Amino acid sequence: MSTQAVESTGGTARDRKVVVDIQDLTKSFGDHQVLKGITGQIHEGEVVCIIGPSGSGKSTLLRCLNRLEEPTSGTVRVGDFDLTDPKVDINRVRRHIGMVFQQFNLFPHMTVAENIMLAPIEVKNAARAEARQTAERLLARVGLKEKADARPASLSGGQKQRVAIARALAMSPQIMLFDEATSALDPEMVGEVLQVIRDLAEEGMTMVLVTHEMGFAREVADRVLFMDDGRIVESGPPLQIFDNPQQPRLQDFLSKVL
Amino acid sequence: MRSIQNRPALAVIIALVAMVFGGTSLSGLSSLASAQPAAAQSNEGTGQTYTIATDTTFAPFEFRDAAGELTGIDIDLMEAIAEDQGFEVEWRSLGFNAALQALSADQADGVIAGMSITDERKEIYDFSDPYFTGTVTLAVNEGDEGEISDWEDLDGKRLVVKTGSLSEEVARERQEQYGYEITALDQTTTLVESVKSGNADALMDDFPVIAYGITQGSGLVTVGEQVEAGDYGFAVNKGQNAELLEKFNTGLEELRASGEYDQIMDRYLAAEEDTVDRSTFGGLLVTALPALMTGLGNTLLVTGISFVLAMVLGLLLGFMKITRNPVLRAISTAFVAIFRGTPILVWAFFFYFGLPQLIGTPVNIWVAGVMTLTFNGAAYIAEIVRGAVQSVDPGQMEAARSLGLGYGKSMQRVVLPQAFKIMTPSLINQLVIMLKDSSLLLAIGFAELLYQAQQIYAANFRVTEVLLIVALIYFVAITLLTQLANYVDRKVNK
Repeated sequence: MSTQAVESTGGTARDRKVVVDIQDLTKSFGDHQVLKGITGQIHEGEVVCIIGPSGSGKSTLLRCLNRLEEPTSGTVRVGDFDLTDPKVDINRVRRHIGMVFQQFNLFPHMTVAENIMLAPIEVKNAARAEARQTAERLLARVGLKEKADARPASLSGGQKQRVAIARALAMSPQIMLFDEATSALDPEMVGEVLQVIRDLAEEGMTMVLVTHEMGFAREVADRVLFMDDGRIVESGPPLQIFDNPQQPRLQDFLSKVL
Repeated sequence: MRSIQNRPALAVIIALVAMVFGGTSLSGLSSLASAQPAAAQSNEGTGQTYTIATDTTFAPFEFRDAAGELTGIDIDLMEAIAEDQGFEVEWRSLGFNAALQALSADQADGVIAGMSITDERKEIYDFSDPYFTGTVTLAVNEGDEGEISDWEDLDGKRLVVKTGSLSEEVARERQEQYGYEITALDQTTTLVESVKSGNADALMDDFPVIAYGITQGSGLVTVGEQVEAGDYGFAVNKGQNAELLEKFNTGLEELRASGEYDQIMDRYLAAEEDTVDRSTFGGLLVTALPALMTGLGNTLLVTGISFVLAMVLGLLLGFMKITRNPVLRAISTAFVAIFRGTPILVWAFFFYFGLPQLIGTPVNIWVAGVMTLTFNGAAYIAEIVRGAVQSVDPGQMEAARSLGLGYGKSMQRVVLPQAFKIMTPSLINQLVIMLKDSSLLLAIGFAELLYQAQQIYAANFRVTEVLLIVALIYFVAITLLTQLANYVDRKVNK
């Protein structure tokens, strides 16, 4: 079951371009094997949600997709790049992969606009004025146009996460990775962040989300992966995963979280 | 009477260190005075220049005045003789042992340094006629001279003398007769302080030294009969420079005849009417301040240069400590362990006295001082940098890296600005510590603030007051510096 897992949902998805291709990925921290052999593809425009209990390897899998974690074995290809090739220019690859963290990780010594402008200026050598324009456009998109010159410390958690999303979008990534993007938020702020992600999904952004928001996963995901103990135990369209789970472990998990 | 113990602690330390490093050559010391080579064979004829070596501080024979100029009985006497006999003097103020070394090495033509004429020394040097007859004297606190006016009054009293000096010999010979207790201490300054604080009732030491201290307001009076303690002479290498010795003797005779000799002696040994009353605190301040300000300037400059270099080196070492490269990490760890685990003083001596012998060329005292403070400071700054960088949330680096910034750019734009903010208070602290540590450089003769203070109280014995002034200067300087640093911190780190 474990290596067969990441299959696409419908017939049309198979014809679309493969953005992420994972083969036999394992990851160990010391003696502890966290990922025990993951294989699968993610296609352009697909929204994939990864669910599963704590310690199942969800975040580690996500972090292997932009090599914040170094895979122990197997291959990970994103777009035209093989991340597991030691000669690959990882900084070049990462330009095409946006990442949003649970703890936002905004740069506290910069204004909101400067946070968003940093990568375009430093990595793409964009002109300052141009980068500023991009930042303002993205801030408008996440509903924070008036916060351009504020410091991150003055923002609420939900606002911070929307800035973090705008920051990742500034590099026009091919794919966006969300690592429990709403887990650190107060409940009343979760909605505003999910709305931004929902909008991105509607615009056709390829996304992988590690999430505990089952309702949201059911609503926006094209496909849901259930992970347990370093393997993908079951995958499929949300209807199947949530309403007709096949594996006992998934049934057990859902009975606890729903 | 001159013996090694008669001289300031500085000279003792230097001599010891020189022995420790196994050096017969104290060439490093020459940069104390002048970098110019000896002028032994320079100008022929009447305008001939002789290089004369002397001690650094042996008031009143040689010491630095308020303006930092070399002065004293030996200096004035030699200058007067030179003028009388038509030659020029190039002074090299080296320290007593170093002066004799320089003479032996033909780097000087003669030595005048309050040196006693002894049979042992006559084997190696030719001496001039005696130009001063040394005596040792008793001294007590001003006001006590009624109670203790001569040797007979010392029964049951506590007498302090200098360890290994002629005054100790004399005191021990007469102890049974007069019935006093003897305590031997190692420096004139300590003797004077003992009497002034009441820990001892009287002291015995070289008359000129005590008499000059009195003119400078030491608050003592000499009492009783003085005991002769040998003659002082000007020395040249045996069998060399006979004509210089001849000129000295002739000149000395003429000065004695003309009365100029007495004028010079009175200048240093007779309590004189002065425009400034030196005995008051204000008087001390006025006379001491110029030299102390020069010292403060040197302190600030050597600290400033060292701190900038220590920052550069400390940053480098701090980064080496957090890299994944085990070689760089080991180098940095070793550097920090060595310089944090050893006293600054050891390195001051090593760079100034040891290094010249390894590389075969003298090391400038500024270079030695800056190296000492830089390496020590860098070891601490490396740890501050490492700690600050590691205390920045790792998520910051991950966020920057995931945007496609390289490690260097991420450090530079994201991690370091936050680390600097964290480390600023520790760095200001380090700067203050370095400024205070710079006073240790006095041990190699670097003319910083505390060194200047030592020079002043070695001459006038007003230790407590001079140290009080110095403490105040340090306090004000450090307070201002801290305020400035905090202001910059607020401006830069908002």
